[in-house]
Amino acid sequence: MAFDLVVNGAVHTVDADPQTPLLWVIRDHVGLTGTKFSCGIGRCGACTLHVDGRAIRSCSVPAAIAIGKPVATIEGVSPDGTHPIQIAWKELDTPQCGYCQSGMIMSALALLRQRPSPSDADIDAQVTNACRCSTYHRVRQAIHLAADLMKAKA
Amino acid sequence: MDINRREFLSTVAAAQGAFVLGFWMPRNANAQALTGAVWYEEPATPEINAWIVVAPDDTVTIRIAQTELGQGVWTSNAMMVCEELQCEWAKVRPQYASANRDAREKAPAWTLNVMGNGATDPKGGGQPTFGNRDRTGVAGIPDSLYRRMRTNAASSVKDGRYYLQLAGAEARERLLLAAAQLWNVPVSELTANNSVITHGPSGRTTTYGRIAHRAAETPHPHPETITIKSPDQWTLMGTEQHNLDVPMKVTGQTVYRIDVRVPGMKWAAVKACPVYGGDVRSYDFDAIRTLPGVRSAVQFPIPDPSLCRGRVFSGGVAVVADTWYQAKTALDCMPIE
Repeated sequence: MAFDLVVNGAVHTVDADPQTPLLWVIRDHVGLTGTKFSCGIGRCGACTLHVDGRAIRSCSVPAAIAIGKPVATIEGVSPDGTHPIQIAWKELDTPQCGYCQSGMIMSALALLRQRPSPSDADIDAQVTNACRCSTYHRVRQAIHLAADLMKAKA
Repeated sequence: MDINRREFLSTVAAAQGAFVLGFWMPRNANAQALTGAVWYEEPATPEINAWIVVAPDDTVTIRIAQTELGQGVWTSNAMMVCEELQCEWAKVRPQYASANRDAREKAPAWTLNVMGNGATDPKGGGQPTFGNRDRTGVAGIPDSLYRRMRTNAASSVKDGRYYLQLAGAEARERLLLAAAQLWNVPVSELTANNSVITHGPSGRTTTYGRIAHRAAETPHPHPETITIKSPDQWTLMGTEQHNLDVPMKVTGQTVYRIDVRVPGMKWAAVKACPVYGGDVRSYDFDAIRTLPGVRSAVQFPIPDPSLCRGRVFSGGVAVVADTWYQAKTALDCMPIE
């Protein structure tokens, strides 16, 4: 069955079962591979993207929930790495292997839009993504730096 | 339980097949357009040596024979080459070295006579210890083009440093020679810094980008005499630099093995016998044959232990489909005993 998804502002008509997890529709049908598969049960957060501005673990929700709502992936943050959150991530050399970082950035961005000056407790509560390289302390610093950069830009 | 972290990670990775990072890419993968010059490609301007290509705009492509896994090897390898090449660091671009060329071509002779097994460079290149220099064996470094293409044992810097620095030095000397020949002056009157060559007596200058095509055709008469800097002369090595792999990782452009796409590619989902060393008795492909995207099922046997260093693995079944999720869904539905 074909349906339309609006991903990063562009309309994509995809021919897939709408019960397919949103992650696989984004990766295999829309063709954006920046969003990663890891645990497949919604725990690790590598597949995090935004549906209607909210951070969603896309491996564990059907694509049908995104029909008619804007979807944003890592590719939509900015293609050239100029968004303040990407600048902060680069400034602190935050990623190591980087596999979890697309989801990490999308989780952090959702938090920052909701709370422009998040506390460490806010970060602990909302950015619960797993990172096997253990970049957590740099992710925390990068979120605080991104908060400053986003406020300076606003 | 006596198992160190490295063993744990590699064991878990082997068991799950999930923590996988690509090191070889087909040249026409869709992803290549996103990533520019990350995968080996034939250079538009001739290379100076197997590690170094200088474009007319002074962009320096440095071929990296190790896989970037977040350990920073793109950055550290490039820094070791750049230190000796004396090119502008901000214009350095990493690119994966060609495994094909490594298999086909021999290493330049001037990379071969480097000391190992903890020796200090008698020509002043210093310590820390260079690794094993036997050209055979598991720990040795072969004399194929890039000497060592594996990425393991925390050895990429200590094993590669000597010949990576030599590669940068050899290219620098040939750039200087090419400029000296062009200007008809002694090469001893030339200096190189930040991709600019200066003739001291006249003040005349040129850039690496303008001289590179000549350097590519200018052999060094005595490459075995080229030495690397002593540690107290380093200006780039030992400094803190931003990692060259990070910009692609914050835009989702880095291609991991799960992201590779080739035309007509199918996906397999795999289920191994849950009993250690166990095997499949039967499976019923007909029960899932008509599910969306399903192509076939393949049984794989218990591997011969003599082929996998005595380790015991299980037999299992794989389902092949148009997408991985289709394959996994069908596999989960298939009766297997």
